[in-house]
Amino acid sequence: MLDYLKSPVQSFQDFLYLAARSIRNVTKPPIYWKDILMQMDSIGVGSLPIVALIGAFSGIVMTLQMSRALATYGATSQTGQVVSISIVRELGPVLTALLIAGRNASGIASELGSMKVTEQIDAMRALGTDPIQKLIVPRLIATAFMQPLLTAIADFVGLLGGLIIAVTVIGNTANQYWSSAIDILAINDMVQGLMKPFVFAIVISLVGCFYGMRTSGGTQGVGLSTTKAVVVSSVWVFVIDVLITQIFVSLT
Amino acid sequence: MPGPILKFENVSLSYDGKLVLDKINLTVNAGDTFILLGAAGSGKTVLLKLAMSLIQADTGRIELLGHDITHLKETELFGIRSEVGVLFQEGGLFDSLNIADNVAYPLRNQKKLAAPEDEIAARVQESLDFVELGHTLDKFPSELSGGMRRRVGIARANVTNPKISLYDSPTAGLDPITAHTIMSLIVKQRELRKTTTILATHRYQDGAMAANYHWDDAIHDVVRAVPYGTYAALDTTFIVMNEGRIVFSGTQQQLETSRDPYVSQFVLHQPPPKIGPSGDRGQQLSV
Ligand SMILES: Nc1ncnc2c1ncn2[C@@H]1O[C@H](COP(=O)(O)OP(=O)(O)OP(=O)(O)O)[C@@H](O)[C@H]1O
Ligand SMILES: [Mg+2]
Repeated sequence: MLDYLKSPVQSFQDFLYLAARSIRNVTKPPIYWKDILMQMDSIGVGSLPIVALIGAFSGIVMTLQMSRALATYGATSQTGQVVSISIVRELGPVLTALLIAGRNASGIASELGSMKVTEQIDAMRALGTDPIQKLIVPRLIATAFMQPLLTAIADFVGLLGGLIIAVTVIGNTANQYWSSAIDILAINDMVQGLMKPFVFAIVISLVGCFYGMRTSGGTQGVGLSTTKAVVVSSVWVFVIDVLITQIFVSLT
Repeated sequence: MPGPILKFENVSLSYDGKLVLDKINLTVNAGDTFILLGAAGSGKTVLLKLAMSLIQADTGRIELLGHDITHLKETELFGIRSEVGVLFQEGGLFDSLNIADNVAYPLRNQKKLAAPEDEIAARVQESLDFVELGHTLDKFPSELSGGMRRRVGIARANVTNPKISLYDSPTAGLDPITAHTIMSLIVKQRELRKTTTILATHRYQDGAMAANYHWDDAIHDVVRAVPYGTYAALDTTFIVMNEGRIVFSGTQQQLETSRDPYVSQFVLHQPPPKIGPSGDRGQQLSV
């Protein structure tokens, strides 16, 4: 409760401080490769099924929704374009980020939070390891590496979902759909589509770590940090999405 | 070692505007045993964490093993902390590591203690044998009982042969038999390895045991150093804390004759009688 009263400015400042220290430590030895690989497995491989599933459904639903509008303008041959632009630029990165926020920001916050309240973090420092190096940096690296990959997979599966509807409901041929989907994508879209998940990943993992590390008040505190980590990182995803989109729109 | 092992000078700390330690002064010399008594929330844990700079004091100065640690950076602290053993109140064992890896953790991660793997294995085995848990190497903390986890914590604290060991409430929440075992291990460590010891507890018996019992290797148990009714002292100082202040500091005898209502409750488990034995009452600090 006290945490709510404490000025949010102070929290934000604490967050920036932790973020700066963590990012600076990425290249510093010792690098805990084993922890990085373990986190990659849990964040990347662990999230793969759900990311693919949501990607497919969003492709399917969006194509269904679009089909009527496109038919009104007699533009059903453009289905691929519409689907691929909205998935690659927007839906893929944001939906994947929300999944990662729900699945991994919470996982990170609760894991570090329980370590905090059982004094494992203190023990680490007492026994010669820096928790930033040992706990935060591996999670940051793993998320920043895996999330763009997961997003690319979500994009691809989303396009496949779109393909099913384009062929069965709208009446495109597969060739027509693919060529219109691929042709429209400019280098700008690709950069935007990979840049977003990279930045989202940094924010999500750091927010999860931040709330985990500042947990207090026993197991109840762990629940509280977990909730905060998910809410705060999800909000940040949308804020940053607007910022990055704005930058790319003004660039073109 | 010249000078004290640990020294607090006017150390104060507050959280959210509430004073949790108020101008603490404390000097621990090599070979001393300090018993930190105090009710829940009196500041025992905070004091122990300050002693190895896991938290920072607001004001005052802390000296550990001859270094002024008040404003040291984390990287500079690691070397000093490698000479300190610590058992945390909440255990602090790593859930994700088995018992052997938990105990080996300081040996693998403290740069100053780096050793080849076979030597580490031998020391881990020795340290676990010391607490009579040599057979649990491959188990995980969650598979052990609370008392066993406490013993693993003691093994991990002392595997590095520290100059000073800090034990935070080692007997809290344990049955009398297990609590006795834990305390005898702490006495054993102190006697066999000459470790300076600070023990936070709310059980007076723990302090009485540290003050009056020796470890006897022949019978493999602790024995009283002097007959019942007399005080062995054994370089043991009792400190009583109340709401962040040290309200008593002295020997066991002084503690037992103290008539301060708060202090004497730790001995008698009830408020003191109106007329008590006269005698040296120890250093009564204002409450
Ligand atoms: N991280 C923290 N944030 C805010 N207050 C804290 C924090 N850590 C400790 N405190 C406060 O400091 C005071 C002393 O706490 P401490 O844990 O040292 O007590 P203790 O003597 O160890 O008690 P116990 O016997 O229950 O372990 C308490 O009032 C506690 O609420
Ligand atoms: Mg405590």
